[in-house]
Amino acid sequence: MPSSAMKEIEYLSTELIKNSKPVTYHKFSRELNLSINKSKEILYDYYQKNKLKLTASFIITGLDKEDKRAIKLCSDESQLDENVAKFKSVSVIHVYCLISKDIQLTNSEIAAEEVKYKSDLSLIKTYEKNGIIIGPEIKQEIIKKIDIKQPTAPVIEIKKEQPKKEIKSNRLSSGYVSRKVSAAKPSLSNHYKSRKPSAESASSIPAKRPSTESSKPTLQYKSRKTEQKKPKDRIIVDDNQDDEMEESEVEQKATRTSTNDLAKMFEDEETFEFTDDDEKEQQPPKLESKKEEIPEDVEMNDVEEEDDQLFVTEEEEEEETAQPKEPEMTKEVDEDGYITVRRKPNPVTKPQSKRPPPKKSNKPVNVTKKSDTNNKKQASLMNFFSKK
Amino acid sequence: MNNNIEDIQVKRSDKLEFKRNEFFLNPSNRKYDRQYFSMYQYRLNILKDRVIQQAMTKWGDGTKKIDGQTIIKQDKILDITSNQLCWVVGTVFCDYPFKLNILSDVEKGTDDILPITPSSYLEDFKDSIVMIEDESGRAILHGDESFLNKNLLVTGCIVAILGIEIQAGIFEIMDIAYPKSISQNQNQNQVNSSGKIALISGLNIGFEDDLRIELLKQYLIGELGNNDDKEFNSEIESLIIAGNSILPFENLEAENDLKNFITSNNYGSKNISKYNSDSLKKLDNLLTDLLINLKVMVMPGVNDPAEISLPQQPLHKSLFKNNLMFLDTNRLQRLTNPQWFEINNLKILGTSGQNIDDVKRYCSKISSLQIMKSNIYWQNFIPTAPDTLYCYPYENEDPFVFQELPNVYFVGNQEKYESEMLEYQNNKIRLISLPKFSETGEFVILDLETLNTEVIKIDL
Repeated sequence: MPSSAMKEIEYLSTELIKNSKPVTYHKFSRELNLSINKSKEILYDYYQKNKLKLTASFIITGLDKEDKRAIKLCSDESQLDENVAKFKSVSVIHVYCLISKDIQLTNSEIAAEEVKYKSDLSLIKTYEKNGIIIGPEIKQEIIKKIDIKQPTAPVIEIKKEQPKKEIKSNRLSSGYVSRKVSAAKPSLSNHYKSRKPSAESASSIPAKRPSTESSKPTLQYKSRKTEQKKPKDRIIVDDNQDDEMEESEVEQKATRTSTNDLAKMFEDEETFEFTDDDEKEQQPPKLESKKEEIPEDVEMNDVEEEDDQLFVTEEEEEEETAQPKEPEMTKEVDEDGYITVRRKPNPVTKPQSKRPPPKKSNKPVNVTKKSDTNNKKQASLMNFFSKK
Repeated sequence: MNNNIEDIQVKRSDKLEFKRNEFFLNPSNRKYDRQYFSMYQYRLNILKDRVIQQAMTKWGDGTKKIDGQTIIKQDKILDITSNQLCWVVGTVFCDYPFKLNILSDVEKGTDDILPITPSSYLEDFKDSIVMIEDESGRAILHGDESFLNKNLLVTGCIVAILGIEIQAGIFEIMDIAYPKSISQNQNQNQVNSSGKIALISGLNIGFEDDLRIELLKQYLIGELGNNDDKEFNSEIESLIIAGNSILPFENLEAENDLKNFITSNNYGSKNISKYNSDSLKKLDNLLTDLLINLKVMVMPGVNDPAEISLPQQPLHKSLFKNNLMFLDTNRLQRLTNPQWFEINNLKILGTSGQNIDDVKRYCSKISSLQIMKSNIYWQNFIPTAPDTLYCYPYENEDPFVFQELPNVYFVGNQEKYESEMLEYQNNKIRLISLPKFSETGEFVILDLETLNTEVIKIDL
């Protein structure tokens, strides 16, 4: 007892005097694993012995004059009598918080300090031992989900060592992942959780992606076409109250322990999106120049092949689904040393399934696209003028 | 001080099962291309017979007399003849000067921005017109203000009006009959529920941390106070957060832009988020602290990041990142607004307060409790949707009409705590108006056995 008491006193003196932080009974109990009542007692004793240096705030609970249950925080011992007078019957007065007399804190600053000591769901048993109400039992499967946090802690360490950008992209995998980043850094794929629920396909990505994706970075921008092809999927996913989000999020959650890390990642999100946007903006010219190289009288099949390939190299999802269907692949090494994987044209099935994109790419793409956008702009401009 | 404190172990009771989900709209088949007409028509069809039933017993058809004049029933508003005492059934429509009007927005060219809802739709009853309409026509209701104040009428109510046409198209109103109330299902061995639930609304978590929220947390989980408090709290099985958990930013510049109609585009500065990501995280952390031993249910409110139209759908999962493992288990439930609960045959209806706030814009100085009572009289708890409240276009359905009567009806985010047991046509309904916690520090405990309520105040 004396030795542990020493520890508590030491904690109080460092925290209160040295660090000039407020100490509430709640924080004290959580930090030193003390029972709630014990922590209130120790705080009160400590306050009695150090009245000159400390201010104590108190909690009064009881019934007020209108017979309503009331909880009153009394910021100073001197106001205690005055506040007790407002009660019809007092059930308890206990110490709430000690603060060094040298500092002045607003209530919201004390609250901000309290918020830092948040509950950890894996420590519920400890809290119960320390005196909170014992709640309904948490179902086994939920406990498992909570417990997953611990074993995967090392994974986080690895992530931390990586450059920030990677973490960011990892964070975003629930929404949008820059394909550039993920392609350039295949190591990331270990952490990438496929948006598709199946775990097997996800595990197959790391092997394939580096060779396919990095081979044709300039073509990546064409993802729009794949998106065009799969708009329904996306909408449904969103609409269904993001069931898939739940899965992937929970999985991700499991690989992260510290919520502080989480918060940091959040903060970085904006900048990340920004850079990604930049990439996007830089991409279109590349795409166009690439397109211009294609002669106008290119045969349908060629274009298709080009297109198919784009789909293959494009998005991980697309890749996963597309690859099993198409076993025939040819590998080429181009002058830059990139390995290009080409799918052999499959005229029977492919043109049917992918008809819409070829139609567009049949004609000089950049011309039509431009005129399209121009038309739109003009139309909206006209509207604007006609209104006024 | 601090004396006689021994550690006792207190277990929270856990018997309640909450059910029902009728306001949930399946995301895969929501249709927004419908007209609202069918909602009104459905409302009229459902309630007309019930109104007629009530009016018949009250006034009869050619059987009763007032001042020597026989009262007769008119089937249609168009059939009303001058200077004859009669009653008709119809839908009330209030034409008030400050009601939002999409046509005038189109005229001004501001129809592409979300209009700001005025604090009141009328000004000293100037230019205010209350009408009753059915499929055949409309009649303007004329009555003295005190009568209309006492018998609250807002757009969308289905009522019978007794009166005389004093002038073409103007109907002098003498009395009102409301739809006959549907009865609570008393045949089932009702109210065998026990236990307590805590109701709170308007946490309004904002940029600054609120110490009262910390105290609330510690009180509910049993840390604050003594063993008596702990035992009292252990009876609370569930906490229902009835809307407005998040305080949106006040973005003055953007609002002024809106008000002054400087531009009408939806891009740029005006489209920035109303929410501070910190307050969203704070809500999540608050829930984690509570979930360690308490079941929590969260309803969206008008300020929360949820859909604007009623019924508001549950808050998005990603707002509960820390508590994903609890999501959609009975530990943490995301509710709709409004929401029906059923606990061992005890029926509870709750809203986050938009329905009451909107009715307040139709009339001046009327208490929330009075409007809640009117909701029961009207047999419709959101009559002003879809007129002045955004609402999902239901087809041939109006889920806001009472098809059954709740035992408890609570409304969140009101000015002050009020609670009353309303006895109406052999039904007993506990009405609770929940105050905003951020303003009053008050939350309410409802005893499910006695239906008594108790307010607890946290004061700094």
